[in-house]
Amino acid sequence: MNRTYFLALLIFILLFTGLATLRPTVLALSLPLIIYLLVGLWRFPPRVELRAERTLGAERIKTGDEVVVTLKVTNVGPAVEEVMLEDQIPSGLEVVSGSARRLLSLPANGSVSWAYTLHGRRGYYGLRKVKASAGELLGIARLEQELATDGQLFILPPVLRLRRVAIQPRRTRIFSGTIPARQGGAGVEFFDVRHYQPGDSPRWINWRATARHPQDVFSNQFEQERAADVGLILDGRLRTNDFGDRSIFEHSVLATAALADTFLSAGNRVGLLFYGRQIAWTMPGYGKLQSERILHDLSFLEPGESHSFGELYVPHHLFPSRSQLVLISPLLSEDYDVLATLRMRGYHLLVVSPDPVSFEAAGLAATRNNLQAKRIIHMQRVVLLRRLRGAGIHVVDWDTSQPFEKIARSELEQRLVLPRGVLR
Amino acid sequence: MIKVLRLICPPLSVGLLASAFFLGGFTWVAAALLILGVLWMIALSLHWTWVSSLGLLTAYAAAVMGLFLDLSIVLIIPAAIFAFMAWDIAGFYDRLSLASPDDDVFTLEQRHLVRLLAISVGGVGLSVLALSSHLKFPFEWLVILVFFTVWAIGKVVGWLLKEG
Repeated sequence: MNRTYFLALLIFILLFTGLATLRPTVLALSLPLIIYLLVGLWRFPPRVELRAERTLGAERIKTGDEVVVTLKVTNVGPAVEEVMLEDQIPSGLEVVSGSARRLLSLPANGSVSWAYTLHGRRGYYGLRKVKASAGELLGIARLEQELATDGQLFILPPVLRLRRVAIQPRRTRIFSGTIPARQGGAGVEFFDVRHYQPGDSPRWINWRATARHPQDVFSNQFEQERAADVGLILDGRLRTNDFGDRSIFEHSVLATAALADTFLSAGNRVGLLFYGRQIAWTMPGYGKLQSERILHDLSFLEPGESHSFGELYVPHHLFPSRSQLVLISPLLSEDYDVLATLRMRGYHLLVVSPDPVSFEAAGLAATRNNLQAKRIIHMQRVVLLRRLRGAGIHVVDWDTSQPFEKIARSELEQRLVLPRGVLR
Repeated sequence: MIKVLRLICPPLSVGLLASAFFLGGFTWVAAALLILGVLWMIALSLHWTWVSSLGLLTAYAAAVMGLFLDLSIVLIIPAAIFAFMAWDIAGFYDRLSLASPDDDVFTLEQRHLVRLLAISVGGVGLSVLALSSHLKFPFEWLVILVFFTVWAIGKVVGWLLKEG
């Protein structure tokens, strides 16, 4: 019960009892309480006018980093005897050092400034309110206010540095890059031999071929390396990512950030499509700015369920045909048809699939039933991955208990050798 | 200081009440009050915040009962005052527990205690004055006075709640 109500009720009871029984001693008992209430009224501030300013050490930090928040609250109204200031910290953020709360007196035109340190998990956080609860020293009544401040914090996913990711889409752009373009020209890797042409460097002359045909001179041709269009597709469907209180989505985000950074560092044009509760699209672009843009967008994303996009959906108009698509998804059995269709349309597909079976099993007790269930689901997954590989899709099965760098080093750095009979 | 007073006021209040009842010959009520005091202390150590309000209510009920039984006012009124102080200090202690290590808790404590002491002394003084002055009011005047007091307190509470 509210303190004021409680006190008033007690005073009323004492007054009525004293009056009803004509006992002045009972009335006298209520006097200290009445004085207490009146002093509370007398000292209560007529109005509370506080202004808050917030400064953040950085607006964008990486997961695991800390940020210093400095708050300054100024009293532009009459003096306040006791005020509790509490910064409203969104869930997902945690105070590491210092305190987000202050209890103090603020004289007229006085101010207080303090700092504390936050860290948190990946996400976007609006830090826009400081709660002020002001009153007099006895705490009889409180005046609560929410002080508006400016502040937003992006906690970006960590970016793992991968050496290279070998992709070879049929379609490349005209700009030079690192993707073999299946065309002769300036490059590093040997591609073909042709007749010597004026302008060819003497160092390119293929002496062995020239020796076999004394009438002609042959020179080496190198494979052109160009930039390519890479579309990253991040699967944020709730049913593929959530396992009770655990989610594999953070692993998918980690892989997406690492892949985006690697492709962009290699000079490619990269876009990101996310679908979960809604579809989010980062327009394709080049360079560091695009890398920042993708990381920024990744910080927002949370898995969710959409009725419209229950199945895997890839908008074809956003990705040029024969370009490289990279899907980051734990995968469901029914995704096979969509992926096979994409492959038939000429897309080059790389699927990075965090293994949901081992991820979920790690959180369960190792009972006989659980182990048997794990074996069955694992077999279903193996069959799905084998079918995908048979369709010419490069599939990376990532056991999330292993670091992504390790998997990337062993499975992504080498060019995919497709099985015999599978078209490139 | 607040920590000490938080633990001293309830036993003082209950102890004074129990002695008043014991001296009046109501041993079982005195024993019940002592048990209540022990429970109050246990609840305080468990940080049950609501217990101070219950303690205040019980102590005042016992004080009123003691006055009806014509027990010693010298013991009853200080007992009620200590219960009221215990209630206030418990509320203040809860607020102080939210303070950060950088806050000047000592100054806040000092100001609060000075004010509480002033109110308590003033309240006791006024009570003693009221009881010793033996003013004779006609019953109608008394009724009007009490109704006016109730109306005024109602207004004060209404205003405080509206502001808060």
